[in-house]
Formats: sequence, structure tokens, C-alpha cells
Amino acid sequence: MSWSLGETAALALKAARGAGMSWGLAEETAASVVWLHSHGLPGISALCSYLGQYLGQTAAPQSPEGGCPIMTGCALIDGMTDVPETSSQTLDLGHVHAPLLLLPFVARLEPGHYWLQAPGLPGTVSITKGDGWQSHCLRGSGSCKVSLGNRPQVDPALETITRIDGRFTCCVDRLNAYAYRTYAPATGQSRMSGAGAGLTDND
Amino acid sequence: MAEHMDQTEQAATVAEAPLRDPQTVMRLSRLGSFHQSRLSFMRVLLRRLKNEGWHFDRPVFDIDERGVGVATYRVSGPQNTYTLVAFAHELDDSLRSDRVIAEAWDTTFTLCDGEVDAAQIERLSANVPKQEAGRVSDTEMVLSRANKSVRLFKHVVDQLAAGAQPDATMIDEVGYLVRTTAVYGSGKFGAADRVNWATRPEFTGSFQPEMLAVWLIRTFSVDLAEHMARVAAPATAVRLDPEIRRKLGVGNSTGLGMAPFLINHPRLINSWIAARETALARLRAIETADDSKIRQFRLLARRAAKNANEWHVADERQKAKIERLRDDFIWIVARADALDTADVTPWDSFYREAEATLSLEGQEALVSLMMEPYGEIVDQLAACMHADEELAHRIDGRATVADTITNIDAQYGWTHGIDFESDDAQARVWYVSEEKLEPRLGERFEETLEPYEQPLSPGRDAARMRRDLAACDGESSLGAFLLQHPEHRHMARRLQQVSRLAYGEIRDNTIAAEMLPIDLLRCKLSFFGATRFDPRSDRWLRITMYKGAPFPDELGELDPDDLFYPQLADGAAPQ
Repeated sequence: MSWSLGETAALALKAARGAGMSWGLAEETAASVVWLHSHGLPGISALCSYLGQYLGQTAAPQSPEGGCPIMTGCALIDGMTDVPETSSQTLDLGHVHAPLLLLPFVARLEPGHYWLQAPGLPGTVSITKGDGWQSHCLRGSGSCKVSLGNRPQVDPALETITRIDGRFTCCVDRLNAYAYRTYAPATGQSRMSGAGAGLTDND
Repeated sequence: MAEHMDQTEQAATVAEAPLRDPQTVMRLSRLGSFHQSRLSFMRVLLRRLKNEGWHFDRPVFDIDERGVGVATYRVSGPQNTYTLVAFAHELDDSLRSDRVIAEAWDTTFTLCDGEVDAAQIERLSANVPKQEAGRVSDTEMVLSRANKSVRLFKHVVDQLAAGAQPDATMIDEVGYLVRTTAVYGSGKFGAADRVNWATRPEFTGSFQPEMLAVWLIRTFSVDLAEHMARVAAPATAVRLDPEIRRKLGVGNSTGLGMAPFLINHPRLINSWIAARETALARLRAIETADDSKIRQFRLLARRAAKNANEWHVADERQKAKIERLRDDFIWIVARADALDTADVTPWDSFYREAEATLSLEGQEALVSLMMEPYGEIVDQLAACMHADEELAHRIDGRATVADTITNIDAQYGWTHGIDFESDDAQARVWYVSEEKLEPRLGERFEETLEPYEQPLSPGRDAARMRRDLAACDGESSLGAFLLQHPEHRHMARRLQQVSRLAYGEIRDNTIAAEMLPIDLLRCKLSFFGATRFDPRSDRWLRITMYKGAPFPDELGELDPDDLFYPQLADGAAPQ
């Protein structure tokens, strides 16, 4: 069993929305997850873990218990946070949940040399296909900082990765449960208002 | 406009008149009047297959006497080979449904990347017949299914078995042996993502794998009927006459599932409409028309008029539109006969007079028709008809609140006359049903659907964002606003995105009580190349694809572009 990136994006979007994010934040979430997987990193594991904590809460970029990685990332890429201009400076983002989800936002900051420092996140990230990731990068929260490196933190993928493999089945199932919350329960009225309802197709 | 300019820069040596105003073009009533043209995707595909000399064969045809089994259709071009795997099933009449909630079909298909072997067919046979409930892999590109037109299929089989050809009237009335009820591509149900094949030359443009699959499904539908005739009467059965065969397309039932596409893909829609509008602008810039072009146009105008005369529907609204279109064609044919080689910018004059005279159906039929004689300046635009939608277009959070309000007024000024607090203006809700995970359109004030609302009402959402922006300091930043109002993030992104796309946004209220979803469907299907739009309600319609087009075994001899309008009877052509 494997999934296409297109399916994964649609799933992440619906799951984030189903967990209570606005559509706009859910789009950022889906983009983050797809970026991670296309670089061989376990985005849906991080999302799965984060949505478990997020459910029913209001997203905030920063909070004492841990900020939202998506809101924090949005503030960064929207230009709302001053990022370091020299390699000796760092930007302290405080505690952030599931820091891996923040990584794509940092990596996309121009000129592409910003690094995310977080517990469990190695200085430079090579393609690991999801192995060897310390759990607190995927789960829980950690103190995060942004610094300026002299090259990209994440190596470009060695080959185009467009599939999510069977190891993520459990996460896909859990995300499907969140996605399900975006679907309206079927009613007799909704069935009859669907296209072609009540007509025979034996012509 | 910037994005459109980037895409057509290479071909900018052709003179162009000004493009039509998006405020004129991007209205649902006009989009719902579009017709197929040289730029339609099935025509783009057939031109390429012919020009590049693609080869076709049928390596497997293992269908039994009950009409159950598998067949494969292989197409090979300069670089790549693709194979349609077709499964034929026995289906009880009580289970035959075109609705997306169906679970069984007469035929099921997948288009595979490359050759297929027995093991792959075996794997596919356990999944493709289940459609959405099965899984395909990244060696598959398209998943589809089709139901028979029971009446016509039986008639054709019976006639062929008896050594006779089917009744021409019946062929014209129905127009297809099978109709597809879904054609899924681009990563759906495990299929290959578009990125895997988007750079292959044969798939330049949009929906080319899907169009290829449907064209091969058409061939299979005829092969299946001929096979059943041979089974029934091996001694007397004959094959379909090629002229009659060509009148058979593939039917398609399309419902609300496709409707949100135009709203969800602003960059792609912009590329389609911009190409079509650029084609029109090029035609309108032509200084004079030579005699051969004028003659060609006069003939095609009559063939298109014949097509309109043969277009029959039960839907009252469409019936009225078609009646008006037939009158419009009387004017078009007369105006075509008045064209003269001495006329200056003849197509511009023609179009401007049409704009003042004809219905929207007639105007848009004319736009498509004027392209026909000018393949040399139109066809190249097909290469611009694609775009990668960005999952999360980057928002410039440094824009000020005041600038954002100005931008909303520029892009969504058309909403100013709409009171979004009124019931009629927000009567509908786009949502996804739990039952089949497909988009539906519900009544906001009759059912509890709002919590499930999809972001498919840009007009209302822009108005809401403007209201909240107006309560903020004009000099503060959009980014700060969005930190306080994450509910507007989707709309803020869309606003910045569509402000670079002349034709990216539909300028009508997509949740209004009077909105007709079939206008959205018709627009998209016209770009596919569909004909004979047959609305069955305000939210689904049937169409025919490839009617008149050549089959694979005759593509070498025939010009596919000459076949999309019916031929005139002998002696009916203008002198």
C-alpha cells in the first residue's frame, strides 16, 4: 500500500481542517506535510501527533505550553518575525509543538539558508526516509530557534519522492478520522439533492 | 495579467487586439455558454497523436461469450507507451447507476504507464473493478468506469449480428454505446501524481492522460459490441460501418463533483481562458482574410449550424438557449456570406457586430468557430494551457491593511452590489457528504450544513474579510491581521493570487439561490472538447466526447480537426 503526494496533501488539508484549523491554516499544514515527504521526512507522523494535541484548542503562535508550528511558521513566512541577518544571531521562537512541521517554513525563507534548531533535529538533515528521528521532534514540544547557515539545512532529495509508503498506514488511518469530521452526515434530503438522484440510468 | 504574459511570451510575435475584459468573460452565464474549439483537450491530443504517428494495437482481447473479461489497448509514441486495461463485467440492470454512489459498472478501466504484463493485469483485476474502493499504484495514471446505453448497445449488437447496420436515427439520438461516470487522474486512489508525467511532451496542456483513456474507451465500446454480435451469430455478424462508427462518441454523466474544480484551480482556469481569449485577440487583429479562409469559414458556419439543429435536449432552459442559437446561426451564416477579402480587420468587425446581436451561446459559438480556419496562430496556444496550482501560495504579509482593501475593491468590486447578509445571497452551501465523499450543494437555511462548508464562495469571503479589515488600522500589516484573524487566511491568499491572474476568478456569487452549477460544468467540459451538452437538472448533465472523431485505426488517413462539426449533405455546401 502506498499513497500519492496528491492524496496526502488532500488528506492533510482535511485532517487539519477537521481538527479545527481554519482553511487557510489547513492549506499551510498540507503544504508543510508535502514538503517534508518530498524531502523524505515523516510529515504525516508529525501532523498526526500534533493534531492529537491541537484538537479543540485555538491555535496560537506562542503559548507557555508550546506554540502552534503552523501559526509560528506563518508568522515567519508572512514576514511578521524578524529573522537573523548574520550567522551570529539567533531568533528564539520559544516552545513549539511538533517542531518538524515548522521546518518547511524555515527552509522556505529566502535565501534558503535558514536553519531550524530544535531538540531531536540534527544540525543538517539528510534523507532518512523517516528512520532515526527522535520522537520529541515529531511529538511533544521543544524549544526552537532559527539561525542563518551558509547552505540549506535539508539536502535536496536524491530522487523525486512522490509516494508515502506502507509504514505510514497507522498515521493515514488516524488522519482519515480527523478528515472525516469535515464531511456532513448523509440525510435523505442530501441524497435527493445529489446529481442524478431519483432517476433511472437504464437507457 | 503578469502570469498570462509569461506564458505566451514566446509566441508574442503574432499581432493581438486587446483581450476581452475579465468582467465580461468570467460571468457564469457566459462560461456556461462556451463551446468546444481547436484548443479543446481532446482535439489537442488527437492532433499530436496524428502528427507524431503514434501506433495503436490491442495485445489482449480475452472477453467471453457473456461479454465478461479483459482487453488491453496499447499506444506507442516517439518516447513512451501507454496501455488501457479494460474490464468488462456482467451487471444487473437494478445496479446500473451513473451516480457516484454506485458500486458496480458495466465496464471499468485504468490507463497504465508503459506495457502491462499478466501479473499487472491480475493485480488490477482485484482493484480496478472496485473503483474508489480499490487501490491503484504509480504505474497507473487514470481510473475510470462506464455504463452501457442499454438500448443502443443492444440495438447495435442485434443489428450487427443480423448482418445489418444500426439505425442512423437511433445512433444520432443516443450518440454513444457507453458513458463514463467518472474519469479520475492525477494521484487519485493511489494513481501516479501529475508531477510524475507532467513534463512528457505528449501530456503538454491539461487532462491529456484522461483524454487518451476516454478515446481508447470509445474504441473498446465498439469492439465489445462487435464481439457480442460475433458471439451471437458468427455466420452472419458484420462490423460497424466506419462512417456510422464515427458518429459514436463516449457519453459522460457529470454532476456536482466536478463543479468546484473551476473555483479550486484559479491558475489553471486562468491559463485555459487566457489561451482562448488570446486566440480571439489574434483573430481580431488579422488585417484581411484571404479567400480560402473565408470559404472555409462559410462552410464551417453551415456545419456548426447543422450541429445546433441536431442538438436536442429536454431541459427547458437549455432548449430555449439552443433555439436562440439556431437563430444566431442564421445571422452568422449570412454575415459570413457577406465577408469580403477587402474588409479591414474582418473578424474584429464580425465579432463586434455579433456581440451586439447574438445571445451568449451564439457569441461563444462564433468565438470557437472563428478559430477553425486559423490553426497556424491558434494551436500553439494549447501549450500554455496548464499550471501547477500551489498548495499554499506565499502570502505577502507586509502588505498594509489599506492596500489590501484597495486590492479587494479592484478584484471583487463586483460584490459591492450584493448584500451577503440576505438569505438569497448565501442560500447555498458547498459541502462534502459523508456518504460518498463528493462535493454537494445544500440549502443553508434548510439543513445544518454550515459547519461543513467548503471555501467555495470567494465573493462572500472577500466581502467578509473586507468588513474585518475595515475595522483595523490601515497602516498595520496584513500579516498582523491574519495572526488575529486566521479565518481569513484562505481568502487573503486567494486575493493575492488572483490579483495576478486576469481570468482566475469567476465574477459571480457561487452560493446565490439562483446560481446554476451546470454553468461551471459546461465551461470545464467545453475545454475538454465535449459536445451535445444535455442538462438533466440544474446540477448534472450528460455530454458526448469524441463524437465524429477518428478511431485509432483511421487516424492516419483522417484529419481529426475536420470531424468535430457534422458534414453537410451533398450539394449543401456554399459555392
